[in-house]
Amino acid sequence: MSPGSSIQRGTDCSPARQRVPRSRPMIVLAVAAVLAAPVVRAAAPRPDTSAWTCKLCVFYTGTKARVEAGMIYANGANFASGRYNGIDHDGAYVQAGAQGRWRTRDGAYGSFEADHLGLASRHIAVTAGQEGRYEVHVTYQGQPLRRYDDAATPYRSARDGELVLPGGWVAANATTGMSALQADLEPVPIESDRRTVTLSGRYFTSSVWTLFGTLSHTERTGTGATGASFLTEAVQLPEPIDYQTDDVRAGAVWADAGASVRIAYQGSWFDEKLDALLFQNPYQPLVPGSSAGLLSLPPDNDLQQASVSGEVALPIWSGLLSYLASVGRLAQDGMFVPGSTLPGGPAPLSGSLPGNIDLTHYALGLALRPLARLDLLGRATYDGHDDHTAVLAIPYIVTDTLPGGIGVTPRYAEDRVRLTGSASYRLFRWARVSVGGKYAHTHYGPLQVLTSLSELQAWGQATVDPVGAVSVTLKAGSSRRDASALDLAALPAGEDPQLLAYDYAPRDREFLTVRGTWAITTRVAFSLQGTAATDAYRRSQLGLSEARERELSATLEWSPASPWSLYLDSSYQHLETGQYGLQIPAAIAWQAREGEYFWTAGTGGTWTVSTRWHVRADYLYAATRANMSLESVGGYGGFPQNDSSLDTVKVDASYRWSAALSLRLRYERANFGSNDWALQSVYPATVPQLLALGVQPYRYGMNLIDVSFLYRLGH
Amino acid sequence: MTAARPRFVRPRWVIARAVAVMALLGAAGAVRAAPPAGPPVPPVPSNSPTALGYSAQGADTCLMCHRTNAQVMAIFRSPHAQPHNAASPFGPGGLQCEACHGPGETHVKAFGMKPAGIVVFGPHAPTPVARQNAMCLACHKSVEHAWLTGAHASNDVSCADCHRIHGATDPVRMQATEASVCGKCHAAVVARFREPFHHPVPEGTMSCSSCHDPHGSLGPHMLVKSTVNSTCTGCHAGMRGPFLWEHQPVTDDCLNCHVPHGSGLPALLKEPTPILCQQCHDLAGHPSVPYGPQGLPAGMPNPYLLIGGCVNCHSRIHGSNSPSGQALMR
Repeated sequence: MSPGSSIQRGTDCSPARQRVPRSRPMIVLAVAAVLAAPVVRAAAPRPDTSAWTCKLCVFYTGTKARVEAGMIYANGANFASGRYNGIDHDGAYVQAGAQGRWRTRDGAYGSFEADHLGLASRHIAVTAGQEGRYEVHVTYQGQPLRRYDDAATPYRSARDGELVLPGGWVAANATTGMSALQADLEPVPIESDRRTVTLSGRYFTSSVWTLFGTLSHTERTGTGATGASFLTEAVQLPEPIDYQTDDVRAGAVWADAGASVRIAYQGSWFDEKLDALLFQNPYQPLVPGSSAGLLSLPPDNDLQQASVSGEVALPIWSGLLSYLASVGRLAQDGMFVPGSTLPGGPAPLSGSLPGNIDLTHYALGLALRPLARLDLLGRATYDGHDDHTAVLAIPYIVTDTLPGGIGVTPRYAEDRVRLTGSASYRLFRWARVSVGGKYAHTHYGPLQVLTSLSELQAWGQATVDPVGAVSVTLKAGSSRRDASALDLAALPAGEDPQLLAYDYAPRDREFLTVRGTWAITTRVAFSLQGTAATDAYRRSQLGLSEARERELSATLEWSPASPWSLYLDSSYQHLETGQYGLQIPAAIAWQAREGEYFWTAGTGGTWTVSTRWHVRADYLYAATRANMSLESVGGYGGFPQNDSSLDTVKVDASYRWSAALSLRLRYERANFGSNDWALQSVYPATVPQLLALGVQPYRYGMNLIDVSFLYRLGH
Repeated sequence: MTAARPRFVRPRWVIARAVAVMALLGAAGAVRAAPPAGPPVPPVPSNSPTALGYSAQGADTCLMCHRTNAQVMAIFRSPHAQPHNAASPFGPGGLQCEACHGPGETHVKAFGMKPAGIVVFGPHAPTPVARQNAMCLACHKSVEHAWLTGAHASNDVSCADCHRIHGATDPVRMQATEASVCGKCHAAVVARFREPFHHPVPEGTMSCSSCHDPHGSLGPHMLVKSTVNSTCTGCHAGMRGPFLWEHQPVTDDCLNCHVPHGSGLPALLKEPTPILCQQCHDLAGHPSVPYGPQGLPAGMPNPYLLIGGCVNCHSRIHGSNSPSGQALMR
């Protein structure tokens, strides 16, 4: 056996197989690992490279860069079209970017990349380093989120964390009676921007030791949409978003041929600028004094984690053992916000909530090749979520309207163990069969309805590639999930004891996946993927009763001649669920069915017209459709169909003016339309007991033209 | 009042002790390790016809024929060609081209007419995937890459299926182009990202590796962190709590209510509200009421059904820090 090759299990360099007694596996593993260290230390025969002068090697030195500058013009753009890229209104945008790299003869190097500098989705990455010694990265990423540009609200922001209604506001017991509403409505963009700056680096102290560290700062500001109510009268609010997160990761890696160790620390601090949002009641107060509400915002929190992970190569069966141990604590110590604005309510809680959750993860992975054709994989993981936060009994006020009694804060804890394993045997060069399974057990802590959940899964897979150009993989399996008896004492008062949630209900699942690729010729390739899964919730009398999922996607790629390449792809997806309900106390049984369909079709290609012209064109059509219906002895019936459709045409052409200068022309046409009964025709005063922002389903028809010049520097 | 301690299941300690043993052994190896003299010598199959030897002059031998191939010469613009880096194939003592392609003496003697044991990389290369990957893993031993226990390894994915080695840039390592590389195989996931609501991967401000470790991880779904929730709250840190009032499905698993890649529903929900909430909530009173199409604007507009449904009032759905947040309404 080639020393040092244990970790490279894929080689056929193990002349002898060794047997290991099955008893006392831990002792065997430990002894094996001890033996492994000296074994792997012995170096493989090293050829004499003294005459390898590399005279013909052309190591790159110097600077090379590409600068892009131009203009984007958008027509028909709105928040829906620019949801994630920031092209959210009509007009012109600066298109700017750059890429480059440099390297010196003494081994210093660097690179930079900047995209979309004129947009909120701008990205900048700079790397610098010294060969074999260190490497430093600095990145900036902007992430716009444009949600609604048609929202309107009567609320004004008086100061940070306070929303007030304009003077002269006419409160009423329904939105239809708020006579000043239409006059007081003002548009409010529901949008936010996330900006992240990251500094990371690696220092190679030796060929086996590496130190690493990352500092990251994220801030997000803007306005979101949220809701609140005064008992039965609700209102949508423009919620201020203003928080930041700082992350630190640091550690060291030791990696050699036979083993590796990674020790790391991670700290993460979340800081929300506001603790709560105070807002005036737009309705006639249901009780005297219920004139304002106080909505809590996420508390500051911090996460500290330490971990050790790595691999140990085993001297038997080309084995490799991976391990991970991580312990951490998630904490918050935010001061209590007032429980209510209602006069005469309970005294505010003093002090803060010392919230602590211990997070523990242990994992072991084992890969073995006892025979040249047989691969064995196994994995055991433990995840612990252990909430140490004190349980408090708190007097509470219901929506700043009514005393609600004493509430006991629930604390949730879970312990999960997952065992997975598989065996894969190569019958022939062109055929491989695998079997595997998974056992997952979750134990829920006190005060939870369920005490434990277990799932056992088994699957089989066959892969055949009779000729190099064809490969087909078929996988099928089933799983059975069982929940423990319910802890009725943990049920909130009035909760139906048959409550069994989607992810906790006993369930039988059967699934089948197929994946095939066929390189029909050197110029034509076809691939197909499909998935079918059926869930039966065999004991559910309430909640989900069944679910089905079907997915199919296919791609055809064709390169008919060297300047051309074409593709055609399509996908189809169908999800369907059934669900039971029971209206209490009338004991009216009802049933809901929900079906979602989603399909796409795309085509396009590239064409190198000449040495100067290069063109790429893409067309995509994507559509969704969702149907929902309710059935009961009382009637109900089907909801209007929710649907959406998107079709886009993109053409991207570049013209090489000279060796240094190119012109890029890009045109994009996108049409999107959607119907959503939850939003459609729901304006601020449409629902008597809900003062809405009035946003409507997304629609746009956008034309975008991008003209930019690319200038190349260096060689 | 203090919560009773949750009962721990016994396998926790079995796994923990085993991990501790392995970590100590690994650490012991680290302490005893002597710096190797030069980069690793990759494994050579003992049954190979090339169990012979390396070329006489290394890269100069190879480039006598291959230097006119621009794709080959692009290696000198890549991170693998670092002449000052002792860990690089082209660094001091490095095996240059043969560090990855294996010993080339037989290939040279055959005047390049036969591959003769040369390792060829790529999806349709004659070299078995395991052998291709072994050449890469000989140097890339980083512990964060639990490659051999990952799903990609067990499905015969080769390093070169994703990575471009001979080039100044590697598309899978660039945020703007990474998803297109992953999408070559994961077509169904690409389709999901075309749904109206999705994480901004197609727009390039996120990438697949923001959440997944393609080299394998010991967590579920090859996630970069140990659990689904710890991965999600890496960005959505405000939702990780602990809150004064928690919502059990949130602390349990974000995927109870959300899908990760794309959805036709806002907030990447699995099902529309109130139906989604009613899969669990059957409290006597309004949660158990079926809200039918009669509650649409054309009928009697119903605040329990329209816009956010339940979350119009229960907006602190991920947890509340208000003393009056018992029903996640404040």
